Amino acid sequence: MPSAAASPTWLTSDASRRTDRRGDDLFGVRLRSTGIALPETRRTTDEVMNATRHKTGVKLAKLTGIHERRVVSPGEDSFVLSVKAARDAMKRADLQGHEIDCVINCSITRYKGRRFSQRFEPALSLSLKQAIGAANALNFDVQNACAGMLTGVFLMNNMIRRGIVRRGLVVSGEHISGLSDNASQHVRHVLSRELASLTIGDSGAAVILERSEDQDGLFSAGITTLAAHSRLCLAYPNKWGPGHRMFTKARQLHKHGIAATASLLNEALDDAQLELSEVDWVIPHQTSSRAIRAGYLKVVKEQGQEPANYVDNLAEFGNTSSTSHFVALHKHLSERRFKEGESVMMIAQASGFELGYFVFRVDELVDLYGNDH
Amino acid sequence: MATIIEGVASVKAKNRLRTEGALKLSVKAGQAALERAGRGPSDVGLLVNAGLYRDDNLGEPAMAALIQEDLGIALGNLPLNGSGAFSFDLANGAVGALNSIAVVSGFLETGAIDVGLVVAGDSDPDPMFNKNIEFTNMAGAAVLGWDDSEAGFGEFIFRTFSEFEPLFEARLEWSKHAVPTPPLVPSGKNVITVTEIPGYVEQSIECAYQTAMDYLSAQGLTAADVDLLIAAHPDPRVADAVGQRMGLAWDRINHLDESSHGAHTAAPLVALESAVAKGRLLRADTALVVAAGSGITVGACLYRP
Repeated sequence: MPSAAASPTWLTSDASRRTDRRGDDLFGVRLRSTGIALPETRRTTDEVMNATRHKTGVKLAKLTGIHERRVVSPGEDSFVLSVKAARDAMKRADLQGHEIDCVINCSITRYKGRRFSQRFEPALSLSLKQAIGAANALNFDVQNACAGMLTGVFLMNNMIRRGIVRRGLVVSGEHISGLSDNASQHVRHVLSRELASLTIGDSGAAVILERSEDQDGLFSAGITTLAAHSRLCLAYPNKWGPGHRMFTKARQLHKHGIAATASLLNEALDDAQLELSEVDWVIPHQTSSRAIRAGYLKVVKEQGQEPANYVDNLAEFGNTSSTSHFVALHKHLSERRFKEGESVMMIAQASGFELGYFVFRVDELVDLYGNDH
Repeated sequence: MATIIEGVASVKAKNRLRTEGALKLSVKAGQAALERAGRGPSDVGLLVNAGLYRDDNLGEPAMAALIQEDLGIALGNLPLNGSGAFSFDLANGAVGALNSIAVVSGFLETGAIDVGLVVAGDSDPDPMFNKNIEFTNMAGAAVLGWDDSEAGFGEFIFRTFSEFEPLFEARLEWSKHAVPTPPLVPSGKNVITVTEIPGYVEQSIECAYQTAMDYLSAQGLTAADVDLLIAAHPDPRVADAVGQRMGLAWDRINHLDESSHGAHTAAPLVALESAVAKGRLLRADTALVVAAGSGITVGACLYRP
């Protein structure tokens, strides 16, 4: 049991509740399957840095641990990636579209159809549910920067627990490497506000959650927005060509992120009724190996204990924005690195400034994956 | 026991040409709604923004985070004592605000929060270049709380009619200038293009009508049980037409004043505010809220004062 008895004050979460305000029981939730869509094309960090307009002198691979990332080919966009990821998750769980009650699309980018054509409305989730045969599902889009998918999980958890949804799909397709292409025209040195854009890679990810008979199973999520830092990372359409550009005050973001994450963890662990040493895997948002390592060390120092493993998935995929946690999870599942019954804690850190967690046990999930990736 | 509206407000830009963007309008609407509810920023546990068209077409972070900051909600740092709040954007065209009310309602129901705030505001970020944007720069906000009496929102339903998906679409994409530009001047611009195909409004009316009738039937009610219809759509003609299609007497339909016309994602909040301001929502035993927009997507729910 957690040592600190203080009730959470920062997280918005209903994880510890067993009944609603009417006194009705809340259902349990479990993670049924995950899916992924990785573009075939690989782009190395050397290629990215050799393509910059200015001689930057930045050793990006050494700085971030990123060696390559995937980028879309013509015909692939945010929507295509999300559909592929959704179908992958459904196939693994042997589910048909009509068995999905709710579809939440969580991507930052909403490119569909023409290249770099961002659809504002109708919601992408509407087209997505048609594409996967879930025409009658409830659908809407959420946008919450790199915390998008964890926001989707947070909302879906609430709807399943209340019995509004029996099984739901949370999905994101990110054709976001355009940020990198645009930044490469402007980055001049290591302090450039667009340097973080060069770490970005494309991908799609999906997760299916469903009602569980086990109300006491380990499954909880909580999230908070530290809005005093809402303007530390901003993205806008490019003024000089298609796509977007992102401007990040990386040092401040890193500083606040690490300090706040260590504090948030106390609440998250209280919320989930866990000790840190009982967490088998921590999956932080995948930004850079150095940031992940620094955050991990601070957490270990403050807690006086450590989780068994933390996931650094950067070398192969870079920062895949809102999909990063689930790309990492999927890869580790595919490589059969989890054992049944192990606990996984995802930690979201995103511009906003968003901080959240999602914890669950892998259980029978491990049986759905082979060495097929 | 259900979610109730504690306060609702809307704000209209003074000038169409860029005096007030979606952020400023949304913050003003949020402040006004909080004031009407007798609440302060520290009461809010969850903020959902359903606005779509925004200052400089901001892509990241969620607009909700900026609105949260400017409203002064949970501005401390984590290591300090205090209470937090969570905010994010929800996008579903002109129905998004009703989706947001349903989402906030879910967290009120489980007890995760005591007060939620739904905000929706739009502004045309570039009226000189964007194509076919017809909405008025407006924002709305609603403060939601939990009530232990019989009052409040009933079950929410949302239906989509995707055969009409192409009838209304908005995109942001690169558009080249018609004439060549000199060096150091961009050769084009990312512009928003809204495409509305004839028949969109008529089909919206039909889809809203069907959804309303199916919803009432599922609740064991008929149109005769509806004391007040609060229908919302970016086109103000839709509300009256849906009421007439349902066979409701004229005085059972919430009519918007002309000054409230033109809201896009804020349309459901503007309609609710209108019904509250005229005292009609309080007098109705059974109010039916219907919101329709692109997709075609329709949401419906009952509200008992």
